[in-house]
Amino acid sequence: MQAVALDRTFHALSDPTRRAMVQRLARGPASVSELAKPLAISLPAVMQHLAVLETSGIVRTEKVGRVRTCSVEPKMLTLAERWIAERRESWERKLDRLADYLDATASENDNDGESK
Amino acid sequence: MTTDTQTRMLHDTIVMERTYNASPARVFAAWESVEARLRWSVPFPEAGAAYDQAEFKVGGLDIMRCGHKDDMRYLAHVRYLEILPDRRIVMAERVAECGEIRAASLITIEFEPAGKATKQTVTMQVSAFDGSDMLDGYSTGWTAALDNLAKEFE
Repeated sequence: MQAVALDRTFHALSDPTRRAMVQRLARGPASVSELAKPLAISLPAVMQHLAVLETSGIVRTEKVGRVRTCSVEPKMLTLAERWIAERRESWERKLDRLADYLDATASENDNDGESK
Repeated sequence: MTTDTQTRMLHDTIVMERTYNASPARVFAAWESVEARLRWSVPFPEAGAAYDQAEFKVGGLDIMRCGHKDDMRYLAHVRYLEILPDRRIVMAERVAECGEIRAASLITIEFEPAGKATKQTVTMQVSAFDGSDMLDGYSTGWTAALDNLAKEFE
């Protein structure tokens, strides 16, 4: 579950426009039009990027009257949480690779279990 | 960078089970041999690992660098606390990234025969360091963006 959240965070922040949006919001909440102003892209494109950031849980938006205000979601993964999630992911892969290794070396090692 | 006053600790226990089509002796040997470890323990093709020191014995110390092939930024010290051939390995691991400690872990690997196969259980008790001092160590890409965010909430 944590790995999925991490994938979404990675994906959300893999794009320079979205990173620029997050950096802007890290300074404080902004309306969609304020957010779009410094970016050289259309409003629909901004909305699309916002949707990705919202799905990842990095940004949340709230409509008050006719203005949609965006802000960063404080419940981000901390550095240590990310570290632990990355380690788990990397170990899961390593242990799967150990299975491949054992399969690949099965024929090299016909005296299985007697080498010790 | 030098003050540690804001570092918090995060603790977690991760248990990973696998059953391998090999005898406990072969699975144990895959952990024992540095050559074998270098073959299987690289998690993705672009990753790299290199041992500066390898001492697979009780009290022995492994010193290993790993990370991306072009950027082996992690330095791991592994001390073997207990080794029972074909049955279990217990080790203490310290991992640093660019000179800053990231985590200290107790890792227990247990091998159990399951017919002709081996059930392997890896238990990692992780203490991760979560400090604002570490955030300064990052520079590029999404990590920088995340770090700006993190600082915002300190």
